[in-house]
Amino acid sequence: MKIVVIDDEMHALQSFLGESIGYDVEYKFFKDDEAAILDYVKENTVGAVFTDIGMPSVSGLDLAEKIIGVCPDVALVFITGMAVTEDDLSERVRSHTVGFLYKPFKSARLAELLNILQKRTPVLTVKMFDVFDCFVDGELIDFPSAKSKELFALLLAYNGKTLTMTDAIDHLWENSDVEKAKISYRNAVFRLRKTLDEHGIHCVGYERAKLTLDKKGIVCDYWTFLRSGKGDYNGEFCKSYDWSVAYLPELDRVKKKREKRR
Amino acid sequence: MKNKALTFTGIGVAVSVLLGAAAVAVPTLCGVPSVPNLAVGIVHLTVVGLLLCVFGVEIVSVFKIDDSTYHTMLIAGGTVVFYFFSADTALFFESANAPLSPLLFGYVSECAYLFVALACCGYVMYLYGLKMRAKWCYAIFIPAVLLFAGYAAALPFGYGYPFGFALILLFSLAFCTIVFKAEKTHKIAFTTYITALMFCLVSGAQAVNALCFSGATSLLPGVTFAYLTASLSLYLLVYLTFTIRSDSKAVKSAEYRSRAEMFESRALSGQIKPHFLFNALEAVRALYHEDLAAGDAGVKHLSDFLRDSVRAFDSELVPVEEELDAVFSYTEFENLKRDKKVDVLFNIEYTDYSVPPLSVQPFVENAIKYSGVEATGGCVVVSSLRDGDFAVLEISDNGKGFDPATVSPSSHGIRNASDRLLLTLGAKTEVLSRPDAGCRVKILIPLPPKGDLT
Repeated sequence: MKIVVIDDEMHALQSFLGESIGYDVEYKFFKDDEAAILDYVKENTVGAVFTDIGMPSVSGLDLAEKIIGVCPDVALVFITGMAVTEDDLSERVRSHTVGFLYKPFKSARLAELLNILQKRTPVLTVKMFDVFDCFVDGELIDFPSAKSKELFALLLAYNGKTLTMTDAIDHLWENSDVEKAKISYRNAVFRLRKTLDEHGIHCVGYERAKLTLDKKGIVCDYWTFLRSGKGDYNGEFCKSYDWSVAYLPELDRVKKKREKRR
Repeated sequence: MKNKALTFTGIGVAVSVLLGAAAVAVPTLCGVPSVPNLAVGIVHLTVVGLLLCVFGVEIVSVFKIDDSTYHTMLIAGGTVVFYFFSADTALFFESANAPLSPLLFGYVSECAYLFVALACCGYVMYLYGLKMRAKWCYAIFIPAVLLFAGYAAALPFGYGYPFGFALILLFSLAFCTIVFKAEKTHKIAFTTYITALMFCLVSGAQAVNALCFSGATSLLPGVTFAYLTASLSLYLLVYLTFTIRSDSKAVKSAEYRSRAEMFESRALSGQIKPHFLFNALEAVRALYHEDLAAGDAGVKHLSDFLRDSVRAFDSELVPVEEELDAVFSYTEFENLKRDKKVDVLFNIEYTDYSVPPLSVQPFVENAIKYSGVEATGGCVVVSSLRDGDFAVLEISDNGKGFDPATVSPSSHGIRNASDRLLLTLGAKTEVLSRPDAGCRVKILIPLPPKGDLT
């Protein structure tokens, strides 16, 4: 996919280059040279245009209108430091806009936008054997809140079953009094949601006093092992969590079955 | 009665016209001679002068007030000309020994009447967005032109008045049709009744003029003057009502707007105050010297928070989830700067409502700054729950508390936030605290009976 990036400030363009390795895209950078941009868009099939809004010689919004005129199928992303939202766009521009990339941006947000542009849903890879970790398109997810990470692990261990608040509290906060535990649960849900939203992961359903999981698009070594016996299970499952011991008997059984067959 | 305005118009015109005609015809038929009366003429012309002032006001209002229309200006202007060329003016000139041709008065007053009648019809059509194009032309203009031609021809011979009455009837029918159509699809406004009343008065006066100028009756002083005075009083009444109503509304809305602006600008200046920014940037610089990742995180949280703060000034209300996001960014940023982190728990259960932007963050800021929970191992809890017909937003901590009697709600931010919560949502803010017993801020937001506040 060809992507045109427009920004009048060079360092913004350079940071863009630094962040976006590993995607099947070809970038073309421009400063706010309207004529050159329009020429390029005329000559080439451009899939997406990332443009700044506040530039000295031409406004990104006006430029966007002109680009749509030349290339009606183009997708637009506005990179900007200003608090610009959808309401500030004209109807025509809005219908082509895929999203906003606010400066300074994180690579996770850029990845999310590129996935949308290439119509890919991010692949969430989950490792539960040994230590629990999650990866989005190969990049490790950092969970600032340890409890929210543990909550996510429990939800994944539930293998698609709904996780109620009561169950979660029994597993994660069994030593706290009920009211305090409820507050901790809701706090963990809040922080989990923030982390997952940041990485473009929308598989969790947040409902009142329960969490649901959409297994589509998730690759999980634990699920694969249960289903087919294939995997790297060596006696360790979500090592750091106390509740994981309850899952070991089932895993051992599956492992024995696999060994018997050989 | 379904067609109130129609009935009012129909009866009003009939009464007005018959009254006027009777007032001049009856004395003539019964043989009461007309009395030339200079005084009445003078007073009549004075009142026409006052009406001219009203017309002046209308002209000014068309240019100065945004939502006034030129229709009312045309009606006012038309009625000035009409009443100038009416029976009592003719009487004045006759009494002043400078009689003007009744034919002139006859033609001009008829034209002026048609103009006013059309302006009244046009105004009501405009009010209700009615557009009657081709049919209107054929049904009104053609008979009107024919009748006027007949009137003009018959006037010198004293038989203008039947045509005059026919024209009054024609325009009354037109006006009533318009009102009838409007009533079928709209709720009739007060202005329509005023316009109908004006139409009635002018029609009545024109009945008198038609009789007088075609010589059917002799001039009777004071009849058109009566209609003129009634018209002027109507205008003044309308102005008075309009001024009183718009004044109180204007005062209220100006007050609301200035207070809202004041609150918003204080909120903005409170959060984006230079010293906050400089401190924050200094903190970020220090973070970068520590660790690149920490510095990046600092920049991200600070810019998220600032972006939320600035975006807030386009909206009066934001979904509470957005406000909680801003609070989250703020707390993450604050914690980056601190060695001992402040534990902030988000006890979020219910979020189907909206709050003014940056109305929760100042309370959290206070809790972080003054509760001292980082030292005691306590925490700050931000809760959002539903309790019956209220959403309950609470910011509580188990820190060192304070005595509300001695410490006044410190910052602008707090006062500003509670004022905006009260102003926009009618939400009451309660601050409960005792020394060594932590602090609890409880905001009760009334929820609308059905649906959500977003």
